[in-house]
Amino acid sequence: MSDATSGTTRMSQSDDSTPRTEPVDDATNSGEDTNTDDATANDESAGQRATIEFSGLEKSFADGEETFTVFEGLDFEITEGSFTSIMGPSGCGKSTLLNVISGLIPPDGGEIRRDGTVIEPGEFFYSYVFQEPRLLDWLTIGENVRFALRAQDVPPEDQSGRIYRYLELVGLEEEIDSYPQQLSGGMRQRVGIARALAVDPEILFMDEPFSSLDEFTAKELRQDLLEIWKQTGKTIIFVTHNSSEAVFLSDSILILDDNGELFDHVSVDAPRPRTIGDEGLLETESAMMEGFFAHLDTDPDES
Amino acid sequence: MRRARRIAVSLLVFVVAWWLLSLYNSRMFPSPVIVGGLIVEFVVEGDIDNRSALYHLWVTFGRVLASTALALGIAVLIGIAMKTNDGVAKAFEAWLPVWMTPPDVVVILVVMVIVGFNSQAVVIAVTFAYTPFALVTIWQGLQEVDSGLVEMADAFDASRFEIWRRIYIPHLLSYIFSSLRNLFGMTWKVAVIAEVFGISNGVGSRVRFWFLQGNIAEVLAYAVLFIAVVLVIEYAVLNPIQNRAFAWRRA
Repeated sequence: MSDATSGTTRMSQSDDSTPRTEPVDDATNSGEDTNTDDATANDESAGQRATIEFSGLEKSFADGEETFTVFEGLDFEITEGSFTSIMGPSGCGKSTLLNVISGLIPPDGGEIRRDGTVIEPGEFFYSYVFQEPRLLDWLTIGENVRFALRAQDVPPEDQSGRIYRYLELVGLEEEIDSYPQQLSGGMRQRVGIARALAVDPEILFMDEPFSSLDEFTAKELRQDLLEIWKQTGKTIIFVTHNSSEAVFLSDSILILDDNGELFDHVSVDAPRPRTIGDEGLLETESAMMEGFFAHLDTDPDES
Repeated sequence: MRRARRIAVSLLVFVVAWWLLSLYNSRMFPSPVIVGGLIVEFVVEGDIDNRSALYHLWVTFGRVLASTALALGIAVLIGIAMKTNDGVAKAFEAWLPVWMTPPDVVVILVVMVIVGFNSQAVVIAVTFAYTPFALVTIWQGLQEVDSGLVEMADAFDASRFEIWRRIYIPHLLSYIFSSLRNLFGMTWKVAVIAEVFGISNGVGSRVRFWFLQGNIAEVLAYAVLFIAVVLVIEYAVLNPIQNRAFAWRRA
């Protein structure tokens, strides 16, 4: 069993490691007293937050006569309304884990409990933001969002309102009649986010959504994503191999190693709104990566 | 404008080259003026059978349209069946090369023997001969659908119908258009050949008649009319439709 099962927290923070679900007031970062009050508020609401527990998750793929185990015996817990990142090197099974959690591919074993009740993978109402925007080039931006709404049987009379609302949320309401190829890469990814949010999911799965963008655009989108998260309070499960991105965005980070072992679960308790380059975040990232490399050094399975 | 000028210049070059050839041998290469006069005569006053050349063009055009639509429609249906059923895909992949092999003339003759020397025979023969070519293009298009888009649609729980309607078919449109253009170019020629074999109307029947009389000018008059109609369909019908259907690409 990995360290993650015991919920190891590598941050030197109080027990208030549970992320918030309520929109964060900018005032949370304005002074010590306010922070204390907010911490108390978070403590109170933390008790009411539902959790999703994953235990013993495993997934293997047949490779000819051999079986390739992506991961096995994964145990972790996600608090609803939190921003959780799954981090690890390329090919470690992050996306597979996301696909298993979402039910897109079936697990070979394990159990998911929501508030103590066993549920099937994918039973929660989720939507997905992919690494590439995956927009239909022949449909306008508005119609791309409508595609998801239609798929989810949203009543036609509600669709136009939702389309506008969520495009406005990502700052693209003016582009409602544009085609994807008229937009920049960052704008297209925003449309992907709007499409995913428009169906009003309980959980938003994001699979390295900014990895194909240039760093300037990605930085801007990370800020915007946090703003959107603040406004919507969705549970976000975010896959990334970028440690800075994970620390900046997340409440907690699950770290997989090359063997698909979930060896660390880091809580990031830095107050929000956060600033890119914030000293506290840099320290967290540095400690997290030290832990990662220390694990590589001690794990005989790692090459 | 630039495009129109380009077309006009190339047409002018063609006519001048033709005229020069006619100076060299006016019997084998009747001058464009003579052929032009015949075209006007056939269109306005009618051919020797008292029917306007436009009537024959229209008859041939109807056969071409019917066989092109049938070939394309059948190819799309088979393509969809191949995409949705591996057994169908394997069967057609195995038989497609065989289907594409018979010479057009053999297909025309066999169909005419079976069906008779009539319009239906022309349509069936041309449809049979060109459906596999359309199918190859459609099948290639279906295989090149971005699987990421289908995965996205699955993630949103889109129905099979919606996936076909919003992903496969729009993606396939460019292949359908490409196929349509190729088919038009080919079916005209084969339909005319089929008409030459023994149909009493259509451009092919007039070409056969005037060829048997040894009158090259009349044969050329029908050929020029024929080419003109193909160009009009290409530039006045297919191009605008394609521009409209793929407006998002220029966006």
